[in-house]
Amino acid sequence: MIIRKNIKVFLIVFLVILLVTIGVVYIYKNSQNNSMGSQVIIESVPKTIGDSPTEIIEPEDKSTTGALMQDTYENNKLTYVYKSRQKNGVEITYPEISGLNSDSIKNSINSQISDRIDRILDSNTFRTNSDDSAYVNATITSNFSDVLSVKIFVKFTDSFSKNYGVNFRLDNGNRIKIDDLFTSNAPKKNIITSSAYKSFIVNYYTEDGISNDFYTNIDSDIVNFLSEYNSGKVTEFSFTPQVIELYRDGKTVKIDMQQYHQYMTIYSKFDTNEDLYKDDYNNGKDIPVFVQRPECVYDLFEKPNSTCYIDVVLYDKNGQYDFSEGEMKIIREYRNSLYSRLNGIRETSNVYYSNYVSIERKIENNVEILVFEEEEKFAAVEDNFNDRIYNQILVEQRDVNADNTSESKIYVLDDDMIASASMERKFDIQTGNEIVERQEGEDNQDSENGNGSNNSTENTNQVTNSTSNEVNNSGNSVENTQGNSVNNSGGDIDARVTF
Amino acid sequence: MKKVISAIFPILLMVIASVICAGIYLFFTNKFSFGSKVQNNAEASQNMTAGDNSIILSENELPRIGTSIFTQSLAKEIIKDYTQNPNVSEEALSCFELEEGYQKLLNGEIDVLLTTEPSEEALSLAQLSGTEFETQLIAKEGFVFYVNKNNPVNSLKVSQVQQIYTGEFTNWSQVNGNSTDIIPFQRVDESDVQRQMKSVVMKSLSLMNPPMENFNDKVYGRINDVIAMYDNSENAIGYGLYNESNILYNFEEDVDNGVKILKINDVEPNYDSIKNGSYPFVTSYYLVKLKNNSSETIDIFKDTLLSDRGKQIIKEAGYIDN
Repeated sequence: MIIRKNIKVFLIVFLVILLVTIGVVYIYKNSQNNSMGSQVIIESVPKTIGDSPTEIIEPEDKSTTGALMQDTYENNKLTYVYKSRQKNGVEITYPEISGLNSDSIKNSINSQISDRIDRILDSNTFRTNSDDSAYVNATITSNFSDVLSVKIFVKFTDSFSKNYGVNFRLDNGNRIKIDDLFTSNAPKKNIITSSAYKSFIVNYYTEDGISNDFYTNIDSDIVNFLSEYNSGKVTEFSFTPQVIELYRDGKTVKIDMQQYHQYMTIYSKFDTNEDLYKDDYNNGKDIPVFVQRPECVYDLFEKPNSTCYIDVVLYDKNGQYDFSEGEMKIIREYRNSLYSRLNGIRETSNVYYSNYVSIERKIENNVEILVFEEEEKFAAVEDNFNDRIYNQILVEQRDVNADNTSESKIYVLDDDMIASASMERKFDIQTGNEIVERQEGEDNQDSENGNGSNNSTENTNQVTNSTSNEVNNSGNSVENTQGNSVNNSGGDIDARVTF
Repeated sequence: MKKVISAIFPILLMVIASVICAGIYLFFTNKFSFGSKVQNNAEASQNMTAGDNSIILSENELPRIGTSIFTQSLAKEIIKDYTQNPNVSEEALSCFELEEGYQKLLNGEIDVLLTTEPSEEALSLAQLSGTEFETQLIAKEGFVFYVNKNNPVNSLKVSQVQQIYTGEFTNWSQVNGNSTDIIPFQRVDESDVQRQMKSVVMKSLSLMNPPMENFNDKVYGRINDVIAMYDNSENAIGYGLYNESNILYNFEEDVDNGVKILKINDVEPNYDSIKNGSYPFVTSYYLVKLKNNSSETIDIFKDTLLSDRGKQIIKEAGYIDN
């Protein structure tokens, strides 16, 4: 009995040990298999990265919808200057941004732009295909909704050039992918195919119409581009508020965002509603989507109420945008003064106000001065503002050609609705003081200086003081205030807009 | 002492037995795993060596290949497989338009051409050069018609397609669709697709005038009177070769406003229906060489393409093997 009992115990203990051992082995083996499974997944990741349009994978995918035609957007309070440098004898013009709260993001974006240009110039493609006429011109094409788009034009030779693009989120400095521009359900291939057809047609457009090569080549042009896109090789792009441009091998496909507005996400996808910027001035806001704002140093677009539409830009007449810090200080003060003057308009109704202010450097009497030339236009109606003014301007602005960047769009309206005025103000670049001139034989009424520091000189323009209620649509008027502390022109503007 | 030994001994026995059992378990399970790996490799190897397929060539050893735009992807897959290199250099193949490829073949600039059947013009060119083309059918492809996926029409008869494109049918209600005008988009004249449309679909019938469009280019301004490209609007219909169309359009269901391929005579264009001929619109692709060019390289290239290995390449490239 004892032996039998021992055998029973022996067998039970043996079975328990056996089961435990096999269990441990089984668990160990499964854990090995699981790690092998993970490895397979990890191994597949680089392939996905390589195939993706850009090399940066964003873990976050904020669900967004396309743009509605009545949506609006806001310009970033980000400033930039264009700088020049040389690399291997190639002249490079590039933007350098400032005005972000985060210096590390600002530095990261600036260095990414610079690095991208350097990598292009270091590439075999550039080295073997360029000549002495080569240069690089990088420009900012979008600066709104917390995103930034930079188009890099690279001239290789007189007959060959290519475009590249780098695009950023301003909340973290990460790069934007092509797919980020579209909703997830967008028929991207359909959109790119249709756009490629229209984009490539212009390559065959001659003075005599479309060339015969178009008929034999267009299919292969499109299939080749789409094949490249499908295989993830179309990675270069830039965008404006109106157009997405895709680049590949010297070919550009332009996608009209307005036509596919329901699939366009860039106006909202990375808009953070956070305070990313140092400056707090109100610049372009309430801008209707797909309206292209001109390139300018300041954009004061706004729509303060449903029937008032203010469209003001300050732009460099010579298109250089290479203002020094001292000049920028003058421009900022001018902008603030102009912004204050708009208060009178903001409270009006049924009025469109545009003021395109060109800024130009000049030397007069051996003094370097900054000249601000305003071209004001007003359009007003008694009623039905939206149909008679706003919608017409909107259509015109959405349809404007890309190179038509600094002209007022008000000419689409009937002449009898429009009144215009212009004026000029000059500032000493060294002192920052306004040079107030007087015309001989004109009223010698003293101009008041907003900060008490301006010099009064002979004036060639008509002076309109702050208390005048005169309507002056044809002569030149000079606002006699300076700085951002004075707002004494509201009555003047009110008088103008109620004609 | 004896007690201790008699107590430890069974425990030792149990541990040894357990270890042996675990070892046996691991041996068998590993053996099966290793076995399946070996089997997979063997299968892969067998696929590679089907027919006369142990041949692996460098790009330099391949014949100089010309393609049309619609056989370019097929040619790339062939080169990838023959060279066992996923990267195909730009020099490995040249893509030509229509008669240009035949002219290059006649000039001796390329050795073989993968393209559609030689046209009358191409045959004339050969005759003028005092030679002949030798053609070998290698692959087929469906010529497909597509509409917006929201269009309720799923199938058209051959005659209905022809009536739409002669201009006889102008409203979708005439083919059991909504009561809206049909916009029958076409391809540009002189393109390979348009030529296939005429020969494979319309036969002796004349195509109506295509829809034209004007548009505003942001840089060049107004551009007028160009043949309109299929726009996938809800009353549009367009056409093309299957693989080309699949490159250009979203046939997937998960996108908004996707594109839907129509059945013809209630037959869906797929591998089986094109291979067995029940789908009526089929385009054939040929390997074309000069009859008097008896290069061994070309023969190896052709024979491999006609082998099981070649058929597999063709199938995987999205075409229908012959």
